Amino acid sequence: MEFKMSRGRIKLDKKLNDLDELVIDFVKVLDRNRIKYVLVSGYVSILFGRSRSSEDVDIIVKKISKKRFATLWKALAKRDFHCIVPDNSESAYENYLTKRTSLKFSRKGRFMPSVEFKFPKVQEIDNWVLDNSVKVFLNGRALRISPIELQIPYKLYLASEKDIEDARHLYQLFKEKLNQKLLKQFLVKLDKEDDFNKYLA
Amino acid sequence: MKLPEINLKELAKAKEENFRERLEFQDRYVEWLKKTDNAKWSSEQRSIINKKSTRRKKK
Repeated sequence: MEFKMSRGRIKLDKKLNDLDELVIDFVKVLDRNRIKYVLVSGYVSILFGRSRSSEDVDIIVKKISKKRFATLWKALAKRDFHCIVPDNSESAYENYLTKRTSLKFSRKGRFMPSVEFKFPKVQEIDNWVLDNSVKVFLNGRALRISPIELQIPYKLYLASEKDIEDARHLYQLFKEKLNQKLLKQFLVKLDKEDDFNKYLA
Repeated sequence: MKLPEINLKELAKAKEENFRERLEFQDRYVEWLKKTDNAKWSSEQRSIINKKSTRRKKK
């Protein structure tokens, strides 16, 4: 695998799969509407070669007003995305997003894979990741992902076998390039040092 | 029908062993990934992901 990593940026060229294309198309709409986002969780491992699929891609979006969300809703519909439940932006905003419930957007006529869209739920960590996202240039298209130094401890925190495998994949791939101090700080904050030593070290 | 005796400790141990084996296999996969051209590994990844995606479309 060849990729360039420097100063918070990663450049990667690969043959795109359906998940990559879903993500590229979705974030293009977010970017055009100047909406701050960060891709987190399983897709980060898949982006970097993990050999598994996923039913959804998790994305944290900085909280926006109802008006801006309605504009985004229309823009997504124009790009062939629909929200699985509910079917109108007012309800999506009032009854889901502001009540800490995620929305799932998929391509029209499809149920999966989907983009799981949410506002920050765990304020401190979600806002940190939004402010410290890493820019990945995937075949020249910019995506924002969570720093790997947070993804590894976070996946250990989630703790299913699949999550631990995701953490190990990222660690094995990036270990020589990681900010070890930052990784350690997140392991301590999430109380995952023991699991790190058990499964990754 | 006589059901087998199930030793839950033994079952848990086998589950842990399977998981460890998968982690070790995954390490070998990452080693392969590191020394393989992007075009090659991403083609293989695409066929796995898109195959699942195609199955979903058919459903």
